[in-house]
Amino acid sequence: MTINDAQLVAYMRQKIADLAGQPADAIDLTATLEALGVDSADAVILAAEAEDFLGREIDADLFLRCPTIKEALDELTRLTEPPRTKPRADAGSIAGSDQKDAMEK
Amino acid sequence: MLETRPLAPVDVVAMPDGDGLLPAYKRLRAEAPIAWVATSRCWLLTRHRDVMAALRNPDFKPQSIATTWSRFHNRLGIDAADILDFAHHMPFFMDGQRHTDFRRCLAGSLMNAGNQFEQAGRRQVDILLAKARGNGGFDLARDFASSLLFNVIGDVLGFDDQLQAELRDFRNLSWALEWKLSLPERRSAAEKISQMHILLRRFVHEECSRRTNPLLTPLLERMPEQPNHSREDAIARVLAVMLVVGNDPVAGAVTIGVRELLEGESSDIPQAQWAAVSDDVLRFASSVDLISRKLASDLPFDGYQLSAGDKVVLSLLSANHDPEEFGANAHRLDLNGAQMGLAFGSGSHLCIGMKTAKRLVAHALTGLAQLPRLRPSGTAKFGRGRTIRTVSSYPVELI
Repeated sequence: MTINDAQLVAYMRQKIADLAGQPADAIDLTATLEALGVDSADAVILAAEAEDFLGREIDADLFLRCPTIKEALDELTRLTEPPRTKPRADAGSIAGSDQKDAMEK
Repeated sequence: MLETRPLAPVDVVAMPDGDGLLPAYKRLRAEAPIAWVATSRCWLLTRHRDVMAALRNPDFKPQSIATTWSRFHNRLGIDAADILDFAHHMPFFMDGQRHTDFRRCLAGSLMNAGNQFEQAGRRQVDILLAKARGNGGFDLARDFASSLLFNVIGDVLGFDDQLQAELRDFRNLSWALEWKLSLPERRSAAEKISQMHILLRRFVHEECSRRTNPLLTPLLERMPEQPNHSREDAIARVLAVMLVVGNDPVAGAVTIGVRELLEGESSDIPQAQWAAVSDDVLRFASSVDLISRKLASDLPFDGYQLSAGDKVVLSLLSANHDPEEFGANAHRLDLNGAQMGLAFGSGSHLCIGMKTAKRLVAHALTGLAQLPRLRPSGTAKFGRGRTIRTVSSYPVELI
């Protein structure tokens, strides 16, 4: 199933509402999570819930980095944009890929 | 009293481990030693005197990983029962009388087995380095440091070859304590802690019935009664804590320290004298770096008003490189400056395994010093941990 932006926003708005103890339509997206009483541990949970919903890895600190809920959602919707279909002819190796730390097994 | 929170000029909490950390901490100490890190919603203390004051102030309460894990358990259906139980048995996160009783139990048991740890330390260093000597080169992190304390614990406890091999997969698990894990990583961490518990629980049950184990027997005698846990269960958890929280810091200290001795400013220290700086290696490497506290009450702190409930992160690495405390040579190893600094913390949560770890690092450096001359044959790969710093690979050759 392809997830569109509206579905993603609706899903995350509900998750935020659950954490904040408010109805979903009362959530002001220009607010910060902090203003809604959502702490940093729950911000990590939100990122994980987004990850679960989207089926792709999301930075655990997404909702901490972005100043407002809207900015975090904008970043999430950018992640669901389809990739470019044609690679650039001058594309080199991805910077840092040979330095990416592997999780210890 | 200043009203606004001073923002950290660099987000060192999000920064990966590596050579960029120390300059970042230097900048923080100079520009914002008590800083608000907006992306992590925490205060960050980087000066030695502030970190020491926080470690010794009971208002700065340890913050358990259980807080986040229980939410993952409840909201995302990750089976975190074992990891929550594991966290419950970490003296790191305990408070009050339970903390006192646990410390007494563990410290007494480790002291009881002190000679065994000492002998096992020497023995395991020799065994691990004999293999390295034979090959003309080895990976200092992977083939030596990352197995050190794990092998020593197995030696003292009497793990058979099969158990040793089965537990090997879990010897470098400190990344499971990090807060910045993806969902698959969280599931993997929870699963590995569960698997480890099954193996250790079985071992503890078999050994405790014999009552001859130099570490398990005193643990069994001293372990405080706990609701919902048998003593054997609690001991298995404690062994898991020792392996997960003990092995990687020792490994990180040895590898980061030797790297500095081979490549850094401290390369002017002859290999034959490495053992003389073993305590300073612990300070320099500070393989336990970022530790979290939560404020129990409003607190004026060095000109700033911290509020009850605020998260405060202390950098032991930065504190241990503070020239205000350690002088002009704080940034390097010093033959004349043998001290561990805050490598093992301070105050009521001072590391219980401090003596064991300190002696093992000394044995490791003694053994390495006796090898033919070492030089790096590759670059060090830092791990992802910022609570516990690790190096997953550091190839060296014998010349």
